[in-house]
Amino acid sequence: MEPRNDATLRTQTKPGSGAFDQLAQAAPAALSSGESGDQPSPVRSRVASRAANSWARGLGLFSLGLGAAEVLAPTVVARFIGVRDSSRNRTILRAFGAHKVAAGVGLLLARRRARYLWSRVAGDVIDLAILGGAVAFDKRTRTDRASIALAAVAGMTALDTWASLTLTDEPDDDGGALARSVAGGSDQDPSVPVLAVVTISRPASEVYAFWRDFSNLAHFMTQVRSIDVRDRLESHWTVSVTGRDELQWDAVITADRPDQLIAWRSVADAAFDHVGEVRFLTAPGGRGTEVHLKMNVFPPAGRLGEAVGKLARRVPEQIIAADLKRLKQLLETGEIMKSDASIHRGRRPARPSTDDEPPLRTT
Amino acid sequence: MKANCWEGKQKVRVETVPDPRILSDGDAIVKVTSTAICGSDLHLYNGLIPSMQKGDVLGHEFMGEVVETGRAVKELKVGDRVVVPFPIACGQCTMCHEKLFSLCENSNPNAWMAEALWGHSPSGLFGYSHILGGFAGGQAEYVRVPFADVGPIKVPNGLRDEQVLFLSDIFPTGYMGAEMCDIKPGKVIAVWGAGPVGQFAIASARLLGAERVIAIDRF
Repeated sequence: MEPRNDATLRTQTKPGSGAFDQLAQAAPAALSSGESGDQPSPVRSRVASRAANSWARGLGLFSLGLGAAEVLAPTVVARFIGVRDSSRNRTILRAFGAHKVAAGVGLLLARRRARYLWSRVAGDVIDLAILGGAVAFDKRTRTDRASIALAAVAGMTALDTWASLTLTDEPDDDGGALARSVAGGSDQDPSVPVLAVVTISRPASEVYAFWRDFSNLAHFMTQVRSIDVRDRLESHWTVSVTGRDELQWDAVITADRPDQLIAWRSVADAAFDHVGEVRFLTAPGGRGTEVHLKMNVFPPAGRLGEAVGKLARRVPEQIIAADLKRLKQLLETGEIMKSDASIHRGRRPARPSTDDEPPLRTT
Repeated sequence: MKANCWEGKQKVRVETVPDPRILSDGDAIVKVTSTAICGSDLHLYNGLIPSMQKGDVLGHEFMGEVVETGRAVKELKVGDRVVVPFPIACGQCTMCHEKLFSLCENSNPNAWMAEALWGHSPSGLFGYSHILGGFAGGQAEYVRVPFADVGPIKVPNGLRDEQVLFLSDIFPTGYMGAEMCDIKPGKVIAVWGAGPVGQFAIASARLLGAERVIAIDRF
C-alpha cells in the first residue's frame, strides 16, 4: 500500500525526529512521566511562578463560580453583600457576573493567564468603586455586610494584582489548568499518557512471541486495517477508527527485549504521533502474564488540539483496553468472543441471524 | 423457529426468528425440550435492566437435546440430553480454573459496558440484555451454546425434565444460600421467603443435613 502523502502541517516541536539513534534516545525520555528538560524562568523565581499559577487556577474557578451566581441569582448576591436589591443594582451585578465568568474561563483554559488576571484586577477596582459608592451614598445599603464585602474585594484585588505581576513576564504556559489536571502531564511534556493492563493466563514468552509477530496484531486490534512489516524494526500501519476515516504511519522499534518489552515510536511527521511500549511481566500467584501497554500520544498541533487531545484521553484508553481484552480471549480460548448480537457491527437484537458473518477464529 | 422476544416494557411476544447456527468450533446447538422463567426475567419484563433491545430473545433456564456440534466439541455428541447453565464460561481463564464460572473473564463481549456500570464484568449470560453480552436466550426452540464442553450438564437416562431443569439456575441459587450456612448435623436453619428460590434453599438445607428447616413467609 502506498504511504499517503501527508500534508498535515506539523508545527508542534517534539523531542527527536529523523535518525534512528536520536529516536532511540528520545523514546525513554518521552516515556518517563517527569519533565524532559529544564527551562530556567527568565524573570521570576520558579517557586513564585508556580505559586502564582496555582492561585490563577483557583481564581479562575472562583471567578467562574461567583460570576455565575451574579448572573443567575443577582438578588441573592445583592442581599448577601448588603446592597439594595434594585433593578439597577441587579443589572450591574449581572454585567459584572458576565465579566467574571469570561475571566474565569480564560484563566482556566488559556495559555496567557496574565491578561485575564489583569482583567480581573480591573474588575476588582470597579467593584471597589461601586461598592464604596453604595456604602457612601445609598442609605439603603447594609453597611455591616457591605463593609465585609469591600474588605473581601480589596483582598482579592491584592491577590489578583500579585498573581498578575508575577505571571506577566512568564513565557507562555503550556495549557490551561483544566487540561493539565486531566492530562496529568508535566509543564514541559505536552503528550497525553494512555495506559491499559490485562492479565493473561499464558507464559510471558508465549504472549511476547505472539505480539512480536506483528501479523497477529490486527486480529485483536480491531481498528488496525493492516500492518506491513518492512524489516526487523520498521513497519507501516493503516488504521481506521470509525470505519470511514483512515490513518497511515510508519513505526520503528526502539527497544526489543524478548519475553519482556517491545518499545516503538512513530516516525517523523506521522499522522498518529506517539511513542509506545508493551511490557510483559510475570503475574503473581501463577496467574500468567501481566501485559502493560503504555503510549504517549502527541496531540495535533495548536492549543485547541492540545486541550482536546488531553480531555479526550479516555477514548484511546478504552480502545486499547478493549484490544487487550480481545488479546486475552484469543490467547486463552483461541477465539474472540462474539455473541448473537455483537457478531454484527452496530445495534442488533440478541437473536440468531441469517447474515453471512465471518466465522470466529479458532487456533 | 419460534422464540419469546422482548418488545418493550411489559411487552413480550412469541415471534418467528432464524434458527441459530454454529458460529465457533466450540459451539453446540441444543433443541430445547423444557425452559423456565426466572424471577430475574421480571426485571427485564418491567424494563428495569438497561441495554435491552426490541427483538432480544429471552430466557436463561433451559435444557434439551444436542442436535449439532462444532468441530472442536469433545464432551458432547448429537443426541445427548443436557441441562445448560445460565452463565457462559470459557473454561480457560483464571476464574474458570477456580470454578468461579459466573465470573468468567472472557465470555462477555460487552464487558466494557458492564465495567462502566458496575466496575467489573461478570460472565456473559444467555438472554439477559446486551450488558451481559447480547446472547440469544433459551425461551426458544433452539439455542446456540458457546463453549459447549464447559457448561452443559449431561442428564442420565431415567430422569424427567422436571427433575433436572432447575439445575440451570434456580436450584444452585438456593443451594448456594444453604451452603453459606455451613450446615452441620443438629443445626436448625431458617429461610426467609418461601418462593421458588426459597423452596430450593429449604430443600438444599435438608440435603446438606440440617436437623430442622423453618420456612418463613408473609403469605
